[in-house]
Order: sequence, then structure tokens, then C-alpha cells
Amino acid sequence: MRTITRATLALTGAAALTLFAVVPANAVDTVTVAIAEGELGLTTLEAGAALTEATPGADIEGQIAGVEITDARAITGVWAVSVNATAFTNVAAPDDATSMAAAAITYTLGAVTAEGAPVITNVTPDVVLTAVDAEVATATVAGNNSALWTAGLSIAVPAGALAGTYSTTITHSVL
Amino acid sequence: MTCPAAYAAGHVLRFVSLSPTTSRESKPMLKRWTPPLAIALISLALVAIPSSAFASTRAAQTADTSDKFGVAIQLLDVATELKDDPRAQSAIVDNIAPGESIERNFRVRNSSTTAQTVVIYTTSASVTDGSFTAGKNAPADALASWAVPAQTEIALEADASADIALTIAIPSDAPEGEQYAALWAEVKSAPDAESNIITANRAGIRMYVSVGAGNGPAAAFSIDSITAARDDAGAPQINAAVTNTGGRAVDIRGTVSLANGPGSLSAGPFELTETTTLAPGESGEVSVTLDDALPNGPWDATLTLTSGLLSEEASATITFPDAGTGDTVVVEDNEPNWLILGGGIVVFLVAFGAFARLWIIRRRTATQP
Repeated sequence: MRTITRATLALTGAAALTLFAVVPANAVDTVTVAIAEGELGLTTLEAGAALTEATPGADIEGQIAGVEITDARAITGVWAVSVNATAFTNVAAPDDATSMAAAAITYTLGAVTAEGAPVITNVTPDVVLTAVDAEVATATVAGNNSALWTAGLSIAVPAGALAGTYSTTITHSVL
Repeated sequence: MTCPAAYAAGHVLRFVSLSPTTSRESKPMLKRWTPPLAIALISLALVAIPSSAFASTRAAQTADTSDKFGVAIQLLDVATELKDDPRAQSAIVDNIAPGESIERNFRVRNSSTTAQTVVIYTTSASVTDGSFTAGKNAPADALASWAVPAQTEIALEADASADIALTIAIPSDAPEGEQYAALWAEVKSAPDAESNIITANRAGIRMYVSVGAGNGPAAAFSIDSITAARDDAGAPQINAAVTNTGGRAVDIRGTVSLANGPGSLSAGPFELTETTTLAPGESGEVSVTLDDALPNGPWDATLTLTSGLLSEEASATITFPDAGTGDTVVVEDNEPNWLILGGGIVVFLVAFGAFARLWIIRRRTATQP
């Protein structure tokens, strides 16, 4: 019987120890904990870009220089870059329907300079931009990394375009 | 009865306190507890290393003095129960009951070299064709409209940052299931006479929010089949069909290892070329392109796929075709056979019960005078 009592005591002790161990864990069990890792960012070299003058029916070449993704999240994960563009509007009369609305903007991803070995795929060579996001690059990453490229733009000016100054908004997103 | 109880309590206290005492009993106890303490100290030191390495990377990045125009975003906190999940480190992956709300903090930084106004908003998102894609610039979607940032616009000096709260409040009549959205920080260049192109740059945080009571549905996926193929350039390729069998979206990445090849060759592990995101019930394909120099085989290919803390492994014997697509090998169920396992447990319990009964009878007989 003595052995059984000792065994019971040991069990009780173990149970008490478990309780002791659990209580402090619950005490720090708040809703959230801070994340030590960093940020995901996207920059371009300049705010805004200029295009050369064009003649109707011809293509204009332009670029958005220094598109850079900086991923300091220090995770195994993924990031994806997508691009969209609004239709060209006439700067003098932004609300008017314009003859440049149908001008197709083709986005070409330049050579990618990467650090931290992101495995970049889905690099569609030439995407015609629309108002809906088109994915131009995705990366599977492990640890901090960055990628840098220049976006080549080719704008097909419709033959029936009227003289004027037109502008478009091109949005780069990293998610 | 009180005396043994006090003894037990004293025993426990000595276990917990770890304080060196002159007690004869506690000395071996202290020795036994030293290795875990040492391990804890070592792991603390290990944890400290990545953060200092990280700091130096940041210093190197900020040393760049060229002009920049852009924004960065960072999730600042994660639910305690999800803190070990790598997906939860960069995305909001919570389960919220209808009628409940959660708050998460995020930091936006104006990474431009000039002062900018950063606009903060949410948009809908979807998981299609193996990737997470954000919708248009309107919170028309349910989750996107339930997630409300405390500030929608903030003026920030160059390199300045601000911490902002995001409240996700689920209406009590919300349908159960997983929904997707994106939280964005955006800078947009002002229109000027010189620029025909207004650039808008934005960085976002993914939201995979499941609506439902309790902990929500579990995440799970299966590897259905493995196919060896050659791509258009003739490089060997391994493709696998995967299905999301759980109730949460999965971000599948992983590796392929080849073993028992011609001449006992082994190769790999090779990283999958892309992370594939699948919504619940969706199927997709993951693939890896290998080196041209690999012989055709046969090989024993082992595929190890993960999504957050989930991991699935499948093996198949494959042979690369000379061109095109080779035979598809259906993966045998790698899960333990529950029927056999359950049967084993029952047999064990019965045997244990019989043994225990025998032991009690023997003891009773022995203690009887």
C-alpha cells in the first residue's frame, strides 16, 4: 500500500507541477505578439515619367526606371508584383472621352538584378496593361531579398489620335 | 494526511525555483536542470544573431543615396496561437467569429527621398490560377469593407514611418468561409506638365480571413500525382498535382529529391520554381525544372511540400521521357492506415487491461497472510 501512496503522491506532484507550468503561460497569452521581421516595399527611381512626342499611328518608347522590390520580412514566403494602367486622358480636359483611350501600353520587364536569391518566375515578357492588375513577376523567397529592374513601355498611338497632351497612371503593386 | 501533502508541495517548489540550496536532496536536482538552462541560453544567443544581421542589411540599404519614390508596409503583430506559422508573419490569416472583431497594427514608411502623402486602403482579392491576386481599387468585397484602417491618408517626411491600426469587424450575419483582401499603402506622383505618366507605387499585406466560430476550419492539402516531363527546351521537369483538401487557403512551396537513380545516383533537393496558392477545394500543379545533365532514370522522386506549418510528402518512381510528358504516377496514400493503427491500439489496450488485472490478482494473493 505504501508504494501505491507514493505513486499517488508523485502523480499529484506531477499534476501540481503541470498546473504551475501552465498558469504563467496563460498569463502571457495575450491576443497578439509583436513580429520581429521587417517590411515589404516598392520604389521607383522617380515620381512620374515623361514620354517623347508622338505622331499618330507610331509607337512611343518610354520607361519607368529603377523599379525596386525590397523585402526585409525575413520569412519563407512569396511576393508578387502586378501592374495596371488607366486609359490615357487629355490633360486639358480629363473628363472627355479621348481618341487616345485605346492606346495600348505594352510593359516589358527589363533584366532583373536580384539580391538574397529570390526565385523569380511568371515573368511575362510583354504585358499589355489594362485597368486590372496584371502580374509581371512573382518570387518565392527565403530571407531578406531585393529585386531591381527597369520597366520598358511601348505605347501604340492610334492613327486617329487627335493632337493634345495625354497622361496615364501606371500603378506598380507588391503584395 | 497533511504531512505527505506538504511534502509533495515542497517537492514541487524545489523543482520550480532552481535556487541553489544546501539541501542534500536539491543538489542532484540542480545538476539535472542545468542542461536545459544552458540550451535556453544558447538558443537566446542564436535568436539574437539574425536580428543583428538584419540591422546591417538595413544599414546597407539606407546608404543608397539615389532618388527614390515609393512606400513600404509591415505587419506589426500576429495572434499568439499563430506566431510560429511563417505565413502569419507577413499576412493576416486569422479566423474570426461572426459578430467579433480583431485589431492588427501595421507600419507604413515613406521610402521616398521626398515628403509624400501615403494613402491607405483595402481592396478585394481572390485566389485564382494558383496565385493571390488583388482586385480593383474599391473595397466592394465583403472582407475588404469589413477591414477598416484607422487612418486613410497620412503625410510622411522622407523615410518617416507611422503605425496604424486595422480593425476587422465581421458582421453577425456574415457567411462562414474564407475570404481574401489586401491592405495597401500607396504613394502617387502629382500630375505635372513634364510627366505623361503618373506613377503610383503601392505595397500591400495579404489577408486570408476565415469567418466562423472557434478555431475555424483546418488547413490541409494532398499530393495526388507526380509526372515526369520535359519542357519545350528539353530540360527535365517534375510536375505534381495538388489539391487543397482543407478549409483555408494554402501557399504551397517545397522541394524534390531524387534517389536510387542510374548507377545509384542521388540528386537534389531542388526547390520548386514557384509558390502556388490554392483556395479551399481548388486543385493546381506545382513544378520544378531540373538540370539537363540528369539521366532519364528511373528515379525514386520524393516531393516534400509545405504551407506554413503543414507538410506533406509523397514518393513515386519516375522516368523522364525523351520529350513531352511521361507517365503520371498516382501517389499512394502516405497517411498512416487508421484501420490498422486503430486495431493495434485496441489490441494493446485489451492486452494491457488483462495484464493489469493479472498483476492485481497476483498482488492480492501475495499480500494475503
